[in-house]
Amino acid sequence: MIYLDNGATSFPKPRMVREEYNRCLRSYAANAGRSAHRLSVLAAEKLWETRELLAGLFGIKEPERIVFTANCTMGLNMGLKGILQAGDDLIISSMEHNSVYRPAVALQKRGVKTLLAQADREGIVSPDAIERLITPRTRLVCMLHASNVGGGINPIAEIGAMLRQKGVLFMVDAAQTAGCVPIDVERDCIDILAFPGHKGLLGPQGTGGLYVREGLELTTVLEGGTGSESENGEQPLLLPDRLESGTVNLPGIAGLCGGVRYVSERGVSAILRHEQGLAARFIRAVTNIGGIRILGPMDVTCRVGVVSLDLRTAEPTAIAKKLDREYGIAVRAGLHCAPLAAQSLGVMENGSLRFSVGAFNTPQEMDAAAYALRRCLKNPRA
Amino acid sequence: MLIVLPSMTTAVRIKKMLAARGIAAQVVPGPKVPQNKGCGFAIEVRDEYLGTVEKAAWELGSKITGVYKGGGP
Repeated sequence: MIYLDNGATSFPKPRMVREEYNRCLRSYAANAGRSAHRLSVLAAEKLWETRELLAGLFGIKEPERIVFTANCTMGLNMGLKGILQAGDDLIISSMEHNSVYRPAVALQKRGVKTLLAQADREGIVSPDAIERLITPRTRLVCMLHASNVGGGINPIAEIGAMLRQKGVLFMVDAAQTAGCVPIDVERDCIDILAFPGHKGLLGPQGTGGLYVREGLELTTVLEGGTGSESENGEQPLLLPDRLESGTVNLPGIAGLCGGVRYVSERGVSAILRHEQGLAARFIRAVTNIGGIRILGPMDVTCRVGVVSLDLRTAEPTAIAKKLDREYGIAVRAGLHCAPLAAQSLGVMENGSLRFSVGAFNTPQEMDAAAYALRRCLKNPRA
Repeated sequence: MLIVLPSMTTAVRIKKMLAARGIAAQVVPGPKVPQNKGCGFAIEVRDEYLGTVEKAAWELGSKITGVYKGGGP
């Protein structure tokens, strides 16, 4: 199998992810932060180690300000619903995934006005597109770092600096970039960062995180047991406890710890170069195939390893099925849970066919995928 | 000495800070006392390190909810 669906979930995982996951389940998968027996302490120490590694990766000075979530969507919901109140304006981009778009629609019903910053033809959102929407009521800008459809990387450092100057909060959805594009919350002026554990950070599904900068307090969307201040009916104020109610996914986080260590050792910039190189190779190989349009920036230095194609003469879902069954190539077809992006890129009607590379794909796999795509498109229905 | 802290995360962090200074400490269950109805965690250290732990807790923005002298590694 040639796996080119890393935009949804990365696969395979590094050996250290499997080893950490297994070691946890075999040796210390107790409840972290509840009891104080030895296994519970070991579990809590693994959580802290993972927080420290993540903090190092994202330039975060206070690891306790990273809370674990089940995925990026959960973190985005916690951030959006923890900050915004009736009467606030929210700005999102026209490239957002449903993980931002749907909470924004839900918040509109509670009196939060959502404004859409339009991306350009390549799916990139400029600081100007956001700045012109800012009003005195604008509380938060929430946008993705890179599109899961077009693959374009947004200039978040420029946007963050502009928003910091204007006193508007900035929340970044790093679903496609955490672990494969350098992120520094200080340099990029990020107030809230949501990230998945199971994509570029190479951890297991069911893991993710949310960073909230110092001085910013979110209203909780979930209250419950934290293993601290149990006599108190109010949720504790201290992070991570305040935003981390209920038992966390310790084996998953142990696996994530292995993933973050792998990413840190290999280097985020090196992984980005690898993935951009593979994307460039694939784009070169499919450019001259008739009847397709490549979505997103043509300059590969402006994109992550996501290459989506508008198939003008074939159904993306039919081609994805053929690639899977006849060539053993795993890709994704459709709207990719991002109807706003599909609309912006002109593929709302049929969706697109997405090839998303990961840290372990090879140039030979990209050549094989391009060859198979060419064959499928020659005879799309067979 | 047992120094009771409000959360396991705080206890683990203080243990790590102490270890970085070469001070042996361990996280243990908090003693059962009426004031400690919740999930109590304690750092067990030698008595002379009370000030160090107090300073570490202050740096972390955490409170110490009890101190019980005697013992410690």
